[in-house]
Amino acid sequence: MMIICITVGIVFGYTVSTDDSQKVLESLTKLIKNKSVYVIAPLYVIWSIVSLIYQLLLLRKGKRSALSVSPDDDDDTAFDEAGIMLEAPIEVSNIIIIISCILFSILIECAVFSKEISKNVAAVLGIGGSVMFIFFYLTQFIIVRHVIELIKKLCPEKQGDLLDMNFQKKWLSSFDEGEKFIAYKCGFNAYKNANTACMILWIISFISQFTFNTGIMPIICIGIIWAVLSISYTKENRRLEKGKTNNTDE
Amino acid sequence: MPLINHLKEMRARLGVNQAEMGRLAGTSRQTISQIERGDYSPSVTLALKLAKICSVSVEDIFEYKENENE
Repeated sequence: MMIICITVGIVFGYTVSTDDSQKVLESLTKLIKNKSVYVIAPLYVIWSIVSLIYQLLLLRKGKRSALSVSPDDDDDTAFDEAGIMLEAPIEVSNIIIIISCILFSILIECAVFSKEISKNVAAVLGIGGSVMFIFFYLTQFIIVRHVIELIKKLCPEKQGDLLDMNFQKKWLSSFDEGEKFIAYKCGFNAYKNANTACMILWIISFISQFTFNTGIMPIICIGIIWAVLSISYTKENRRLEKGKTNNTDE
Repeated sequence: MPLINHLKEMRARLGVNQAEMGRLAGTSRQTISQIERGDYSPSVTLALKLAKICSVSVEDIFEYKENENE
């Protein structure tokens, strides 16, 4: 993987080192910067509406299956299915929020720097985009809170309110050993994947600082994320190796 | 999976559902479901609790079978 990335980098770097190719890349960057507003603005609106409708449909489906079972039902399979259905809107919500954040950032960047649009249009895009983003974020919050309340009805041992600042701590403390095992396993897999993603993104941002004039900011941001990941993992690992691993609670 | 369990049979013998079993053992219904499916091996504490609830020994619920390949 590393060898492939280095080879691509060398070939790409050599190609763009000539004056002509650099001019082509510069004009390409300018073109993307100026024209992308025509793509991003409608894409952002469509994405927000479609994803919200999709999520509401998932919520309705999950709610229906959650209300059809009770914690004391004998049908264990139906209970398992209801749990999976109910978690779907939360799983989708995380991805939807991330994509919305990216689209919103690009939209604002376009509104500020695009030379293709007038100042009035830029202001409408900026204010409209911001209002839409806040509205979208609030609806996500309401949906997730609603799902959590439904999960609490389904599993009365679960505790925590999304409005509470210590929600994650309370929610995790209401997990039993089986659920904690799943949460920790997911956390480790996320750590592994994030490490790989950081390495790939660092290579991309390293190359793009020369080819697309992205500067050193992306490299610094990726570096910080990478460092936080590694330091927090190492710190927790040392703490657990020296002391209690928390599986002797109760 | 070298760990085979008979929790479902034991639970049926007791006449309780997963939620009730979870309540008795101080764990969630989901964890009972995962143990029964063989997706999760419980801690010693939970295994002992389950055995106590079913009034049997841990070995009656959980059986360790060596892999033939090993």
